[in-house]
Amino acid sequence: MYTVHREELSEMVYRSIKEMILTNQLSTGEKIVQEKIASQLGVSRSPLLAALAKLEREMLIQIVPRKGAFVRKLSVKEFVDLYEIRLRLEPLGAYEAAVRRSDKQLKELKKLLTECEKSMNKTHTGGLKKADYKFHMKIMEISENEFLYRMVSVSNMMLMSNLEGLLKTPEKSLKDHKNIFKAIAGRKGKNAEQFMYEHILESVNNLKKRENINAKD
Amino acid sequence: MQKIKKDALGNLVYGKIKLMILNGALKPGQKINKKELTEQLSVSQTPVNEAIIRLTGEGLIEQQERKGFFIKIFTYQDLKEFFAIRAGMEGVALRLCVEEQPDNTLDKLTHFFDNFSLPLDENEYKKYLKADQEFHQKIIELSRNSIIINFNKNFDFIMKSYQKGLIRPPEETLPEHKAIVKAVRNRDSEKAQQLLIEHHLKSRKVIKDQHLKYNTNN
Repeated sequence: MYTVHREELSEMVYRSIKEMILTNQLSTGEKIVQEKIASQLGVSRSPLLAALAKLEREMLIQIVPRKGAFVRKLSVKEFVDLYEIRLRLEPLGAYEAAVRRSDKQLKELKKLLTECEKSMNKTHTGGLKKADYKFHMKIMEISENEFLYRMVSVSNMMLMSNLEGLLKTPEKSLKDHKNIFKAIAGRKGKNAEQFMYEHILESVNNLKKRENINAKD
Repeated sequence: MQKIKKDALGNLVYGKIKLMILNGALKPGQKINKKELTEQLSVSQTPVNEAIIRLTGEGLIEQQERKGFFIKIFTYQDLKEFFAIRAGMEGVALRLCVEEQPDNTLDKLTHFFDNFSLPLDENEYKKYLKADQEFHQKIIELSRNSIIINFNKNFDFIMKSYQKGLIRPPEETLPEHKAIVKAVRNRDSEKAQQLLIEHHLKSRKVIKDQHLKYNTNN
């Protein structure tokens, strides 16, 4: 009854590594040194390998034969593709969150908005990325549209799209988040949808601009 | 050089066994006979063992202590999840197809159900099952979205969700498929997405109801 199952252990390792990626303790392209992580977490290699296999399927890391595991570096095309998906999912989630949210859920979202505000200067430590991630995930959760929430959580979409840092200034991002929050608080579905759409569209455009600059180099 | 060949063989064996599971050549619940598999694929034990471990990690095979490896039988809970995710994933994929792809590409999506009309006889039913699977896979492919394509390849939610056959009869789903195709032809991307989401959520509801019934009967 008290035995520790291998699945539980690898699930724990999986969550720890994911957290390290989210908080910049592991950055994109960085090698995951297996011995180091195993001793850090106090586990053996086999749950670590299982966790790495899962992270690979979720596209967060890449396993290169004979070289090891690396935090995955997305190509520009992949980033654009990712944002094209978010652009078509999240406005829908924001709309439904505005229509369905309870007062309790609104309070929770407010807390996360405050967290975004407090993390404004924590761009280098990943604090802002994490706050941004939590804010967006919460809205999908509040939408109570299970297919939306499942899709974004299983696919790690939010996590992946922040891997290279945020695509707009912290000030602009916060302003957008406040507008989205206000619309959800006021149960204005169409407004929430529109603000979310513009918020993500700006990221897509910034991404494409960045791509054009790179192409000219 | 040798090593590269070994990796390639490993991947090949893995792919073959996975296909056998997804297309039902290895039945859900069936015990895996390693010796038989190695003979059937004419390879050595090592790549077969590696593939089994990989597929166990992916949740297609499960290990029962002291009993061996078995083809995983998906629970109602699993299936409910598959359909929820498919609704989100395929909905976006279809919308991307309709918004971004030229007519000649969309053409590849709109003819799967042309030759079916109700009622279907046994032979047509089999063909319909196949057309159904191919149609949904095609939506993913034609989205040309690398994230969606990879996601589907890594998780196989589409093929996994056919483990218990068709969830709803063609009498219900054929008209839905035709309506989706019509929205695609009309380039109405939001409607196509909406219809596809509803299509999957209806199947999900059937699974949910069966789940409840099963629980109360026990």
